[in-house]
Order: sequence, then C-alpha cells, then structure tokens
Amino acid sequence: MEAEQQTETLLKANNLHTWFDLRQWGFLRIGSVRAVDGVDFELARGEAVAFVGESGCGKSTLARTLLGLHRPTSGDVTFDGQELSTLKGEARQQYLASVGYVQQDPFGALPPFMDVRRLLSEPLIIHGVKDRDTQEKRIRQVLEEVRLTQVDEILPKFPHMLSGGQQQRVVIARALLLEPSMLIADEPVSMLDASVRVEILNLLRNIQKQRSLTLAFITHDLSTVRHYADRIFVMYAGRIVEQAPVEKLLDSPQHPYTQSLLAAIADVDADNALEEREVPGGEPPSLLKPPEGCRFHPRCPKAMAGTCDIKDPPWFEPEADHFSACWLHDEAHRR
Amino acid sequence: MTQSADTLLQVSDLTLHYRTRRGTARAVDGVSFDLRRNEALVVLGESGSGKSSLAKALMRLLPRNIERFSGQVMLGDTDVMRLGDEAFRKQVQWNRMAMVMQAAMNALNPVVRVGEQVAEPLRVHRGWSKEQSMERVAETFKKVGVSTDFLQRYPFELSGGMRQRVVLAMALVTEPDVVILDEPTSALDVLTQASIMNVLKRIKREEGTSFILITHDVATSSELADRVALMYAGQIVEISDARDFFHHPAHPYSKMLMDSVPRLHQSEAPGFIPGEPPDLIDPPTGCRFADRCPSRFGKCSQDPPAFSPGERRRVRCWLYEDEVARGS
Repeated sequence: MEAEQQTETLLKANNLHTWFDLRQWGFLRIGSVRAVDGVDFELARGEAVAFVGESGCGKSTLARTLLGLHRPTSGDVTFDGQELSTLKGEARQQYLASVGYVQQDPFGALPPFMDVRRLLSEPLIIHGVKDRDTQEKRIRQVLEEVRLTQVDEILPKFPHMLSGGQQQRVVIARALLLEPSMLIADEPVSMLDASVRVEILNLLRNIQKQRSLTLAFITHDLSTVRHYADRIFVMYAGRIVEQAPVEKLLDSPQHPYTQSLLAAIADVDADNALEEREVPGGEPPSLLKPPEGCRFHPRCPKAMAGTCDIKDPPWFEPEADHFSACWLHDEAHRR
Repeated sequence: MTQSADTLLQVSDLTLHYRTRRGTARAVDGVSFDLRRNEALVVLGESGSGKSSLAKALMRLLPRNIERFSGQVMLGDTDVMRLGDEAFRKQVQWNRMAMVMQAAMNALNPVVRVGEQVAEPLRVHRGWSKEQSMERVAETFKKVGVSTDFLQRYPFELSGGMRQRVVLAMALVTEPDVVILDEPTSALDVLTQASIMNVLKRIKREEGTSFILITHDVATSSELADRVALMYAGQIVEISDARDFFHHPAHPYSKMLMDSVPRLHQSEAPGFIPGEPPDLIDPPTGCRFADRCPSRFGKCSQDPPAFSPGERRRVRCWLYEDEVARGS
C-alpha cells in the first residue's frame, strides 16, 4: 500500500501473525488460536489511525504485539527502520520507551498502592532518570499536558481517590512521560461515562497533534472514530478487511462487513425505535479454525459461491486510497 | 400528574437511600414517573446517577444497608409499596414485573441446562409442572430467536448474544406486564447489540409488553424509547417523549449530553460536560447540576421542582418556571 510515499513511515507490520497455542494437559499442542493472522500495514509519523473491530477480531492482540508484549508467531514489525524481533537489551528498552500505552481500564492499569507521584516517577526511574528535580519537572509537565492542572492536589492521591476521567488522564500522562513517538490506546474511553468520553478523546487528539505522535486508537465503536483518527482499519477474525481515510470509510464503506457494521448503528433519532436493523446472521468464526477463503463469507449477504468460500481475497482499490479485501471489487466478478 | 386509563405503572416520590460508612447515599431521591401500557421508557443516566438503584427499588431487590425506602408505586390497582415482602414476591416479582439484570448473561448457572433455568420462574413463582413450564419455555425461546435445540444446552455452549437472549427469555417467560432491562446490551458487540434490540422491538410490537430500559448509552436508548427519563445524581431531571428529548432536549444537562453524543455523519466535533457529577452522599443543596451548568443563575441555589413545559414533559430546572407561568 504505497499510497503516501512522501510521508515518513514510522511503523510497518509485515505479514504479522500472532497465534496462541492451545494445549491439552499442559504440553500437548492441539491447535492454535489465530488472533492476528496475516496483517500488513504502515503507520506514518504523526498519523492517527483507528483499528476497529468486534471483540475477538484480534485488535487488542495486535496492540499488544506492537508493544512487544506478545512475540509474533511469524512476520515482523519494523519500527523506525529497525526490526522489533532483533532488538535486545538497551535497544529494546529504548523501543519500549518510545511507545506509550493507554490501557482500557484506567483503574486496573494503575497500581492501587502507589500515589500519583510514585506511579509517575516509576517509569522515569526504570528508564534512568534518577535526578529528583528532573523527575518532578517531567511529572508536572505531563500532568499539565493532560489538564490535571491542580498538580499539588493530584500528586499525593491514590488511584481510588480519583474519578474515572482523572484516572484515565493519569494513565495518559504516564504514557507520555518518556517522550514517546507513538501512542497505542486500547479502547481508551470504553469504561468512561458518555459526558467524559469526548473530553478524553479530544485530549488524546490534541496531544497527538501537538507532539506529532503516531496514534493507534483501538476501538469497537465506529461512531467515536470520526474526529479522532485520520485513517481507519477495519478488522475481522484476525485480518484487516478494509482501510481508508476516515471520511471515505464512513461515508462509502466498501467491504460488506463494514457495511453491515455501519447499518447496525445509527445516529440518535426517535425513528430508530420504529424499524428493525439489518443484521447479518451467525457469529464471527472460531479463530481456531477460521473458514476457508474470505472469513466473512459464511455471514456475508453478497457471498459468491465458488469464489468467496475458496480463495482468500487480495486487496482491491475500488476508489483512490480506499482498500477493501473483497472479491466483489474484482472486475471478473462484476456482472 | 394526570392518570390516564392506559397508565400501567405509576411511581411517585420513590426514594432509596443507602447507609454507608461515610454517611447516607441518596441513590434514588424522590423519583416520579408513569409508564403506559405497551410503552418503552428509557431511564438514561451516567454511572452513579441512581438508575440501577431505581430498578432495584422497583423490583424490591434490596441490599441490607437501607436507610430509607419510601414512596408510592401503583402497578395497575395494586399499591405495591404496601405489600409485605412475601406478598410482593408472590404477586408482583417475576409475575407482573420481571427484570434482566446487568451482566445477567454471565450469571447463568453453569451446570444447569438453560431450558431448566428459564423455566425456574414458572416453577417457583407459579408452581407449574415441569412439562407445562418447558412447553412455555420453548415458546418463549422462539419469541427471542433462540432455536429450541438450545433448551438442553449448558450456558458455556452458547455465544454471548445467545446467552443474552436466554436471560431475556427468563424475564419474559411469565408474560409480565413490565419488563425492566438493566444495560441489556452494554457488554455485547455492535452486531449482537443490534440483533438484541431487534428482538426487543419485535416483542414490544407483537406482545404489547411495556419496558423500562436502563442504559447509559444514548444511541442504544434511541433504539427502543417512546419516552426518556434522564437521571442525574439520584433525581430525574427531565422526562420527555423520545422525539422531544432527542431532537429538542430541554434541561441544560440533557442538551449538553445530547451534544456529547458522537455522530457518524456529522462534521462538527461533539462537545463534553466539564466537571464531575456530585457525590450522592452529600449532594449540593439546590439544583444538583448547577456546578456544571452554563445557564445557572441566582435561583439555582434552591432546589428546582419539576416544571411542565409541555404535555407529558417535566423538567427540573428553574429556566422553565417563567415559561410554565406564561403558558398557564
């Protein structure tokens, strides 16, 4: 996908697979859960992208693979020209510092027995910032950046004394401490109340723009993506099935899966209660034994027997800079 | 409040306070509303607004640390609050009012076949025989879109969406007048969510059931609502017809909440509500939203009553005092 050659690529995933072994009696391998199963993409420096998909589509595993928490089964990730799997010791430490992680559940992500000062100095100490004054300065700076402006009030507090929104700000502050060049935010607002969500999303987006960070925003909710990402990747059963700039994808979805996702949600309207939505039958496939061919074909209203159930769809580009992995875009299948 | 012939449930001044170590938590603080036959009322609110406590108060599923539980609940001609616990359990609970609790699909008994679990309300509350109940369960399964082959399955053999339908069947199996649904779709995926909402719409249309749907999600609420009651810090701040609420919200909190809903096809970015909801233990005197309200004025330090700027519409905000006075 060499769409924008002029921008600098920061991260590149190449045919990435992350499988988990399923074992019996602790040692006998009886299968593999193919959580991420052949994913390719490139993220440019300073770009915000969203990975959208339902639970079990592999989006969180993908995030954790990028963070170096899971070792890919095959394929590789290149970050700033370096292959992740070859990084050792110091270099690996440096990579970990340059990728910030914003977790889904802020309360679970903050150690309950550390006050904010302690839990924000920890990453600095681990990454070699030993000087107390420098630590204090950096901590104050990130707290201001996440708009926790009453710094002196916040620092001695323990996580349970903060509201959900404040907790998530602390998590974001922690992710920013080591001056990362990329942020991975895994469902950063799904645990928060509606009125706070937008505030946190705005904050993330502003920080991303100001610091020109690369942001990978993982979410199940297409409706929150519009203003907070430049590009969307739609995932289904371990694969990316569609990718495009936000407006193109939301306004003219090409893949039948994306189309059904968008048909299932609607902007708030009193008429919503009057009509039933069109929902494809069935459930996402088992990742132990994904279906042959296109993974969506058993549920797809437009599936073509003899094609979709046999051959894996390659990428098609039905409109400029809009990619969809679906045989319907193939000239040979247009009637 | 005028009682129409169609009114099925009428709640006045319902109050539920919990005793906690820090003091009294006013989870439900003088809530009044009515529900008509075949109507879906959505109780919308953020976490800690008291919406789940309201459901528990209606179903009388109360914890032990109750400080105060009062008010009037009329279900048809029955004065529910006057019934003793045993009479309530026999006459109302699961017979005339049933509930799907939050995360209920994860609370199914893992070692009992789902058919038998769904039959339980019939056997316990109605004393039906096994055969008779299983027949009814099979019918109910069909209504909620679960194949009768699943009667003999165990919960772990079902997907999340199927399990949610099973708990829904459990609430519907006694054919109650009112079904209370507490966040029925919040743990589910987008497509599963839509299909569960489809089932609810169909049941409402075909069976004439009345629903109280409790949710924090405005988009979900619009999928079923005839009316919307918005809760804030233990009180209903606005109750309106869905069309009014979604398109012309009245209370400043309703307006800001509607404005914070992200839209798929809208170029303006959504807004947000600065600040945090108040503590239920020591809520501010006067209007509870005043701290976060952009239109607050002098009078907001007094507790606003519910003004009625339109038919079947009540708004707890001083801004509507004049409008109501002028109108009447």
